[in-house]
Amino acid sequence: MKQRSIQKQLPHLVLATVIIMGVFAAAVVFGWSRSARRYSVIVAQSSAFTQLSNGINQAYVDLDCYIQNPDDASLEKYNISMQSAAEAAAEIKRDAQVQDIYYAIVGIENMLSEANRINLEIIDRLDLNSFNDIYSLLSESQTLLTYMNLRVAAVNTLQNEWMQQQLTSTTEWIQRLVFLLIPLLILILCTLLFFSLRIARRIILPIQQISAQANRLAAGDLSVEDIPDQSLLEFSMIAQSLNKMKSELSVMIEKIREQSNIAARLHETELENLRISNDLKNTELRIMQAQINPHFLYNTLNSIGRLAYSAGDHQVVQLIEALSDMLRYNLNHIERSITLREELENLKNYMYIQKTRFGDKLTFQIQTNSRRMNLRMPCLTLQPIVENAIVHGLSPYNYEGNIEVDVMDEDQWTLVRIHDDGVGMEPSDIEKMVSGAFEASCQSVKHTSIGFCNVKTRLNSFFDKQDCVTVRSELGEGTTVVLKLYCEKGGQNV
Amino acid sequence: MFRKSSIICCLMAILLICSGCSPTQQSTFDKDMRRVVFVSPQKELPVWVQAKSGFMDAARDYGFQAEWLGSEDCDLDEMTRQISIAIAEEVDAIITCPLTPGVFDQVFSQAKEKGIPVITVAVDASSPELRSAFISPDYQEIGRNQAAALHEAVGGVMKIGVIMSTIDSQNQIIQLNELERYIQDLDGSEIVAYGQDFANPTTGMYVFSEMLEQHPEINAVFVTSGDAVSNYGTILAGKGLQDSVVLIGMDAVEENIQAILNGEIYGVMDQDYYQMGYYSGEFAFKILSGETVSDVTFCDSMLVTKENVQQIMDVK
Repeated sequence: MKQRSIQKQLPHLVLATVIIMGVFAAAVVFGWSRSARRYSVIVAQSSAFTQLSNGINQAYVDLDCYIQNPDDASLEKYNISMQSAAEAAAEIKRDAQVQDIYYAIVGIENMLSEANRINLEIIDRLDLNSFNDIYSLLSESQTLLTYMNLRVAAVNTLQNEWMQQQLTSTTEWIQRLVFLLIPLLILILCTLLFFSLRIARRIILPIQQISAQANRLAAGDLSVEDIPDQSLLEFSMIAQSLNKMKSELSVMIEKIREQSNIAARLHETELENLRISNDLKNTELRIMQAQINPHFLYNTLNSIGRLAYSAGDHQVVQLIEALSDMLRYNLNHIERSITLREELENLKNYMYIQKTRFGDKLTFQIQTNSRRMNLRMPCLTLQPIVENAIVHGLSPYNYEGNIEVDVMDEDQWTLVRIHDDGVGMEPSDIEKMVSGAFEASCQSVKHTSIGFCNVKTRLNSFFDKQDCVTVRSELGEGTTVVLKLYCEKGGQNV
Repeated sequence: MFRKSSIICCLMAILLICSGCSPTQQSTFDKDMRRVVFVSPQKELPVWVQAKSGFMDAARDYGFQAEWLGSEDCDLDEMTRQISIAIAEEVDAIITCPLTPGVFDQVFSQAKEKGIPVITVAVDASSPELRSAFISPDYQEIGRNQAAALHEAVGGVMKIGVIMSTIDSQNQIIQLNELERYIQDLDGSEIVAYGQDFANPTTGMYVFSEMLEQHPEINAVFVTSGDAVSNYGTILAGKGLQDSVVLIGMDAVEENIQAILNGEIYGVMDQDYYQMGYYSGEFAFKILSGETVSDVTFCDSMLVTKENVQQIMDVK
């Protein structure tokens, strides 16, 4: 598209308007001045004819006066009249536009000259005592006067015809001019209007397009299409700038959005880490609380164990050994990862203690079909789950029930399934348990054990996954918690 | 945009300037031309209008100022006065038809004194000294041919009635003389009546009608004027005499041609007035330019009858 500048177009339109109107005005002025000149010539010619006729006849009147009373005043008047007639004839000749009139005036001039010659001779030879000498001259002069009047009358007729023709043609010409100029004026105005509207449209349309686009951009709508290329240079520049601005704005907003997402994820991670850290601290605190004097308890348990062994009560000895192993396990490994084997051993100690406590009402089965017993995992993950099963699942049945722990390998992870045939849970309770709300409402658990949510968080955090713990439960059907232990943790876990 | 505007501006400017340029008459004619005046006997009569055309064409061809003057109906006083005015105006040449040559002697003399050449047409001055050239149809030949044609058409003894403009019109007298000479040798043929129509058709109708009433033996009419010929045909037709009375008049003007076509008259002797007018202008200019021209020049003439009237109509 060929682009033009408003800066050039507007002056061109103004210039064209000025030129057209100037030419129009010049034509009108020119036409009217011509008409005025023609009227002026007509009037002047008419006036000259009157002056000629009057001058000739007045000269003869003055001549008669002089003959009757010869004095300088009459002679002066005669000369003035003849001069006036001669000047009128010369003027008519000068301005004559009709050949016949011109040559007729030439003849009249000749007659006037001859008559003046005779008249001057009459004046020269005038003798008041005798008119005989000048009579023939007078007669000849009078004949010339008659001829002159006849010829002036005849030429005047021609002149009148010419004037009539001129007036008619001038009037017709003025009418033609008016009939031509009016449509021409309308044409000029229409043309100017057309070009003005065209330019206005070429200005207004881009302004509308650009302002609409700018409004949408201002409203944050970056999906608007680019403003099309404009025919006017200035609008084209504005459109290109807006399009470029929109494009850069989109890129910038996209970057900001990405950065925002990253920041949000970072913040979330930080929150998660903070929460984990907090949980760890809480755990440590609880452990510390639980270890008010763990070495004292441990040493005391060893002393009790030796006494029991001395007394031959081997069951007590085993119980104390199991408890002391758990205590040692808790004290030594709480901040470190341990193997699946170690965790299962700790779970067995816990089960032995609980079995001793609840007797035959409570049964445990551990099925281990894994060859990944050295799989690293967070400490104290299985025992809290089993403890939950006893405390929440079997306690309504007076701690009567069965708890099964199955360990099995899959391709990328090892599943540890802990199932109890306790009361089970409603889905809302499962949700509460997973989210930690359940533990929060259960103060006794909160202060004495590591909660389910804690286990889940630590496992997810350890394996950097979000699906390490799943829970299935139905009321009356028991609860199954499955832990997914990923084999790989940087390839070092197996 | 600007280019379009410029083109539109230019077109409009041209239009406007054209509109502003009215056909103003400017004095573009030559102001140093010779002035030649033609004083005709009947300036509006068709034959003299033909002469005027020739005169004006000569003026255009040779470049002189031609002025067409004259009387309305062969007014000799008016003609001489116009010639006097022309002399007073000091025109360069005068052309006229001195119907009655003696009447023009004085003005011709004045013109000669002033050094103004006079050219006579159709009718010569009373003396060749008074004019520079004479251009005319050959009226002797016209009269002779007219008489012979009349005789041939009658086919026997002619009882002739003669009608002239005026009985002192020189060219018509020449024609009449030729008629009289022609019938001298014809046994029984004679002129039984003379009349004057004074170049006035109404007068001519009265004169001719009276002539026919008074001379019922007339079987041939010899008309030397052309003004009332068609009216004479009307009278013949009205009296039922168009087949028994042969009339040959003058001038193949429209009315006369129509009378021939209607069979009311036998024919007319046509004079080439255009040629006469053209030659008079041409000769005047040549005389003023110092060239020598023929003293007497005859123009063409012919008899126009029903047989060749179409040819004349085509030419005219």
